[in-house]
Amino acid sequence: MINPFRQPSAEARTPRREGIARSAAGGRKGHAPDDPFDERFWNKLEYLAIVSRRTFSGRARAERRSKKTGSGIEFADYRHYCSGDDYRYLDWNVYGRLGRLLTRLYEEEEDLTIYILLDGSGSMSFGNPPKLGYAKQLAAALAYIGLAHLDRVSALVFSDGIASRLPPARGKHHIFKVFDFLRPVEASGRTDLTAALKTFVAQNKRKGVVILISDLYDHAGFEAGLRQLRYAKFETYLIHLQDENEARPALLGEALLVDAETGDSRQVVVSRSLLERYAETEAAYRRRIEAFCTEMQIPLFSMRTSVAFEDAVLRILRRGGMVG
Amino acid sequence: MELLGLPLGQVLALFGAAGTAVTGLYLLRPRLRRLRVPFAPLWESLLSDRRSARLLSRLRRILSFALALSVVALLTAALGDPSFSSASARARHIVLLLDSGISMQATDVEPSRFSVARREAGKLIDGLAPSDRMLIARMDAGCAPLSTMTSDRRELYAALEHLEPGDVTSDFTGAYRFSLDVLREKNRPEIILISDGVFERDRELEKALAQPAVPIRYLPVGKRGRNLSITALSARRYPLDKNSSEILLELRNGSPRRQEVEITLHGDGAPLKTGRLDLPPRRRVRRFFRQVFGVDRVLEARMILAGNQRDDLAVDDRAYAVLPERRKARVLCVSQGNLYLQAALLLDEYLEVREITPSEYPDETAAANGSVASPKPAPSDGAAAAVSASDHLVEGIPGYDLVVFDRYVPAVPPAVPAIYIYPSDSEKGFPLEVVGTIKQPYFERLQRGHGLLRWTALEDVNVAEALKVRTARRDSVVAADRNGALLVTGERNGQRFVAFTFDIRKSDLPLRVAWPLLLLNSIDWLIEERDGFVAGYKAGESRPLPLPAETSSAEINAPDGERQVLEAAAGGIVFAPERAGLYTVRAEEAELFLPVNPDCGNLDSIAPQKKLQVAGRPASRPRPAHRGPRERLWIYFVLAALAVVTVEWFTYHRRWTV
Repeated sequence: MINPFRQPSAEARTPRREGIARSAAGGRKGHAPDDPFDERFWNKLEYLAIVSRRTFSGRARAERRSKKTGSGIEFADYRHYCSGDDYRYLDWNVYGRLGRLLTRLYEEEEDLTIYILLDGSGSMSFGNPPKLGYAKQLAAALAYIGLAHLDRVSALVFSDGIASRLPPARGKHHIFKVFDFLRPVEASGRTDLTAALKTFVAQNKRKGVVILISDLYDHAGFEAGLRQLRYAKFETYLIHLQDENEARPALLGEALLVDAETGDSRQVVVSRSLLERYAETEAAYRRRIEAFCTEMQIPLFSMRTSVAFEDAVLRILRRGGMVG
Repeated sequence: MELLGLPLGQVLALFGAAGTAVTGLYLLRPRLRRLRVPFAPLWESLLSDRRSARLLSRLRRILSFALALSVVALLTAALGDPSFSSASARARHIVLLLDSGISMQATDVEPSRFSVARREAGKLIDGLAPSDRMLIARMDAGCAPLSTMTSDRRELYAALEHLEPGDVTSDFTGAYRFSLDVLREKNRPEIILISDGVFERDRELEKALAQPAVPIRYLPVGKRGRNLSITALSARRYPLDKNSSEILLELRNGSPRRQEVEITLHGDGAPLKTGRLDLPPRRRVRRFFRQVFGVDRVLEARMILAGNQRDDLAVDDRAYAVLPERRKARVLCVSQGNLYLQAALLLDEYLEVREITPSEYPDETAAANGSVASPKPAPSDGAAAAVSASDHLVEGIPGYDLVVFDRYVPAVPPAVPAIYIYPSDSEKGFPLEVVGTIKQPYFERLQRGHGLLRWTALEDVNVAEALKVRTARRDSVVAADRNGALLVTGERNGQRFVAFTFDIRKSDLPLRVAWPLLLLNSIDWLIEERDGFVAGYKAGESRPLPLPAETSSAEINAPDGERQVLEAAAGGIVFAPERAGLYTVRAEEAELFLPVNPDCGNLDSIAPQKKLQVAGRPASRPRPAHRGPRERLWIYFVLAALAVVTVEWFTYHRRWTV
């Protein structure tokens, strides 16, 4: 049996607090007051990294056990010898007892490329706390978990295209670059998942895990973009972020509604009945996302920013089987 | 329905202005709240019925506009103070007579009758129905309105605010006549009198004036009438001893009990005499104080009750009197020498006599031209220096108040009063025409009441000879024989004269006491200081001030320090003091004191009258106004406006109407 619960190496467990603190402060002394990656955040990351034990497939050797058999050191199974197999893996003892040529199979330990796609469109600036800040912490946490398991982690920010990109890298020390990459990201532009993910697929030939963090507020629809990931064989995980007020806005009376991304305005008279109908529409939109993800077999994690960050990671991601 | 407040035109104008302002504000396009939403397409499906939403919005704006207009309409209507016509028909027209007479100062009720009356008046104002109208009038010696006939309570309260009782006796009949005049042809007229019932009245006139349609209500104040008062204080100098005075004091005990009082006389602020008097109940007592020394100008009498008691009215426990200013009259005696005359003139120390011979007297021409060359005035002492400037302007004989011609007559009569004694040697300037002589005349006919003959007995005076004179029409023969006048007074060219038609040296008159009295009486009569008496004023009495005719204005200082300047009008400067006390009058260089005492009239008691009858009909108590809930409609208008504003506020903050 493949043991999926192997602990990270000593190197992976070694924290470098001073480096974290320096990086969290952006090279300055102390932490910025609104820095999402402070010491407390780091402590949470440590905790999350310890409890994560999910295996992913990858191409290079890593601490994660692959489903593939290969040149690892952990015995996995036997199979009949085929021409071309390496003689070194023939089990001569079995051949002596049974007279059959069997080749020993080992679990091949591979590394994994994790692509974390962060939605940086204007709609992510909503919420209290803003969805973007929450998404940054989530992205950093997932990146750290991946790095802690010696996986390659790449981060990308998109809106109507790929806005910025952090190349894949290994090692926990890489988390500082992740922090530095995420920290200046600000919400702007309109969402175009199709264009952004098309570009992503074209630019990244190495398959891996894609963790898409977004509110999925795409005027053209989110389905086409996600389909592209699916067709490109990326193992996609979707984290759908929402703020509590988006579902039930505290709004009454006559007002001019302005779309945060397009700037389009609508004059409305908001009544309680209209709000109820809005809540139904919003719920229908969520059901549409869930239905699509079910259809596409994309793990979906719907998260509210009102939930504490660490609770969200531990409860929702664990329940979803993404970590731990 | 009618408007009791602003007239309809003003109400409509106000509504038009305010409504226009509100309409203007509503026509301005309101700036909508801009709300950013993360994903507008979620709202798209909901806004498919935008047309109906706009219609609803418009309807809400119209509703809000209508609410604002209704608030403006309600408030402007409230300003009009609408009232049902039936309420207006029930409206009363009231004249409130507030007694401000001297008796209202009584303190038998705390703090005083007048304060209680004013408080009761305030209650009556509070109890007025909104449509009732009232006029407040002060009732004292006269009747003066203090407000208009109004329903404005502020004006009525303001009329009461500064009203104080005076020192005069009230006259009800005059106030009654005034009230009837005011209420003539008024709807539901009514007279309310707040008084202690102590006033003067003419019942016959009230009967003649009475109108049965005008009821009179009476609200009595006061509970008792214990009062003792000084009703008279007079003082005069003795003619032959002007350092001493004679004082008359009259007191009245208006209470039903015998009362002992302590009297104190003050002369020029210093105590002169103190004494006790026992006053029988409801009686007047007179007391003379003779040979009183130490008072020069101002005499004050104070009365307090024995045993540290006090009566209910303090204002009449003090009185003032003034003595005339003492000064020496300067007399020029033109005589060849007459010891009897000289001796008589020396008797009066307030005479400053200079004797000259006829040759020293200015000649006729000089006298006629008003020369001041001779004779020179006598050296003046301190008293003479105080002679007023007007005295020095006496034409012809400057500096002298009087000239005595003894057996000499000037060519031209002097421009000052003169005494002529037996003008035998000249007839030219004599004011009487000499037509002969009378042998051994007797004082057979005497004008006993004339001032010249006061304290004299002339019936048995023997006279050897007298001139027979022909008098003018307005001359007065004070003493005469059957054959002609012996003592004549008259006036020529504005100057008085006294003529003795007989030679006193040829009579036994100088041997009698009557001679100096007759001479000094003549001098006093001529220079008008006969009795040395200055009449006092009564509060509320209007009289001309005793000032020279040419005085143009006078400054008057009241006892409470208030100053006022009065200008001369026809008949001089007329002054009507309202409060008792000692006033000071300054006019040019003259200064005089004016004693003003309370006018107690014929009031013997200040006991309050609990009931009042006018023209044989008893006055009833004031009746409260009918104040139904329909009387003050403006309150409901304001409440309705408040309710609308509350509804608007409630719906606005719940975003129902925006």
